[in-house]
Amino acid sequence: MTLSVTTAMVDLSTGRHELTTVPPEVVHAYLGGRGLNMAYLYRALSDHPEPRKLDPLGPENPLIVGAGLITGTQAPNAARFNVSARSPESGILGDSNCGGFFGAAMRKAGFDRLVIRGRAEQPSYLLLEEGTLSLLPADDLWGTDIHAAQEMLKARHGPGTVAAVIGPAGENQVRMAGIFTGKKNAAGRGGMGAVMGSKNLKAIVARGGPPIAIAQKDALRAIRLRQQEYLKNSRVIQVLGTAGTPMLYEVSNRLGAIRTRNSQENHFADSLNAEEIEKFSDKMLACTSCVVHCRHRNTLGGEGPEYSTVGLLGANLGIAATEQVIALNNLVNTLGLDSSSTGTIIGWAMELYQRGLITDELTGGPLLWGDFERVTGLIEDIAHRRGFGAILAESTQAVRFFPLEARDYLIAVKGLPQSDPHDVRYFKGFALGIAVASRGADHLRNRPTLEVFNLPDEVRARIYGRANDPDPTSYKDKGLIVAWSDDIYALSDCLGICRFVTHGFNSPHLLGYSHFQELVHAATGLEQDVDDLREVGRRVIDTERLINASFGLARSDDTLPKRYFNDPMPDRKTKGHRIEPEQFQHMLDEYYAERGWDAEGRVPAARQEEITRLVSSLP
Amino acid sequence: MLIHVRLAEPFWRAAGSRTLALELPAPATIADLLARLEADYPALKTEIELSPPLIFIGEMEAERTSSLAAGALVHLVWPLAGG
Repeated sequence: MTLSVTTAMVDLSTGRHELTTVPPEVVHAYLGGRGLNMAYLYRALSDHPEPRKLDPLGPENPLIVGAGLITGTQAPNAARFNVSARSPESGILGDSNCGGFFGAAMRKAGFDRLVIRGRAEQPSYLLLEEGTLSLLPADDLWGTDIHAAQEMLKARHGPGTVAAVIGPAGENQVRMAGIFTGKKNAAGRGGMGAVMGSKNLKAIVARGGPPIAIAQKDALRAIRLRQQEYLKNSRVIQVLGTAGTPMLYEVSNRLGAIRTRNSQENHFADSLNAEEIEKFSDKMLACTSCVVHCRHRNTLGGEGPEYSTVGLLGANLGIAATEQVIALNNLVNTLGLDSSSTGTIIGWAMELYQRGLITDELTGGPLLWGDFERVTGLIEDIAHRRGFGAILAESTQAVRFFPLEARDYLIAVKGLPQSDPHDVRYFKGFALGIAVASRGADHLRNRPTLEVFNLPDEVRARIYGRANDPDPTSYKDKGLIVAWSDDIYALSDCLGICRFVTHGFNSPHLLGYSHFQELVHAATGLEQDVDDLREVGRRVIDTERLINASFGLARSDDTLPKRYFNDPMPDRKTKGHRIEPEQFQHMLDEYYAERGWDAEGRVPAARQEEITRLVSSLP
Repeated sequence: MLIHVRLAEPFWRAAGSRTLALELPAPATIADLLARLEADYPALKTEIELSPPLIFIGEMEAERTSSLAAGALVHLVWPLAGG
């Protein structure tokens, strides 16, 4: 079988599209998913005379929707797709990874990737069906929420229809709007839903098509069964399948590392522990070919919440009632908002109000910790850009409406609110991770989660390639472990494999390079050794660095919220911890050296030439 | 003396209860408590071996040698910090 990776170049302004094949050399270099998305994004920026002036909400910003190389092949947890563009939230690289069933459906319908430009004249949606692509009117869908839009599309196109849609937040170009498939699965980060809304594109619908071509069917089946057994023996997989990610809340809370009231505090109520969430759960759900089943179906009509949402719409806003937090989770998902950014931005506004930096005149009324009714209304207002909600809809860019001092209380890096509720002042590797993550403050790019285990030195050396300091609160060797995490997580995003089965994320006993190698070979026929695969991850990180450099980012942007440097954590085991600025700079030096970048964090010229040459063959 | 134990995921599933109250002869340490828990709940012994917990007495992290006072609340927490 000859591997053929297809990209549809879609122009919504003209309604035309062209189906292209990705050159084999580029497939080898980037594989798919996040990697190929980055290649296309860098290509688009290379063509732009002034990338810094590219309007994220303008028709020229490409919205790139790409499935992982082996998404939908029945490889374990290979369900994922990435959505990428210049982020309207951060102004830098925007890239968000999503599970569910859409990635597989898109490939089955005959499309590995869409590069969508322009702006449709009227509300529209794309239908991918049996290798054909149509642009159809969506006037009747415009204004509907996430669930209603999907139900209408399923009713219209019949069984087997899977849609990725935006809700009112995306339509209104709220800068923290996501793209959703199912009730909760979201390409949530960076405002990709706003980009879709700016293009007048309500949905991308996939249906039908033959099974995805597999190079060695029997071999893939045997590998899949073996790897599934291996994964099912992992304790973390087993527990995620019963308690879901909310179990992480109690750990962070007990340590004193749960972001509380905009990180003024570091622990909160036990009412948000997993056992309380579980009382509202009637089933655990899965994505395509998933062995984990980590997603709660909640009895309030939605799915989730995940740990991030529990923390950021709960502790971070001072809301302790379990049912209320689940209701807020369902609300943001229905409206199409990223729960991480929404919780962080509302928490920020609440602290500004608490400090008197903003008043009723701007907010339209009290904005108090724990006020569920107010938060509910505010989330609705954000999604519809009403009142004070219209200001918060600007996410971190709302800073322009506030006094200068407001910046000091914003928990964001590079314009992106921190994704997860873990206060990173204790684990220094976590802090470095969110400082250098290519899309801004986000744990899923490179969190060295093994730091929390007391792993023997020889195990750590084997994992990370050399001896390293096991003390998670020291600043030493953190560049090594963050760079290592960068690379393997980037690779799994290229393949379309879920983070929860990726080596190093919560466990050292998950799928690593050699597992990926055999999956890639059996599924696609590609001959790549482990070193080749490592290089793919490194190349993706370098490409992302070049993309951000084209927007003007430099070493000074690899930093942390001011509070993380200045304010010691107030309580519990983490008490007194903060990030020491000089030591932080040493971590950065070490990280750049690990990546082969210069002292300013610049990608070497030879690598830039290689990447430029590779992407120049793309349309 | 009476010691209260709070078991987080996944330990409570092995013990069948999220909270336990145990009588231990004074003086006692965390090691004594773990020995007692492992004897009373064999499945919990396996779980603790598979997934060594972080242990807290109240809000303070504890070692196996840490002393217990009557009425102490001990937390067994699985160290995880993903997302």
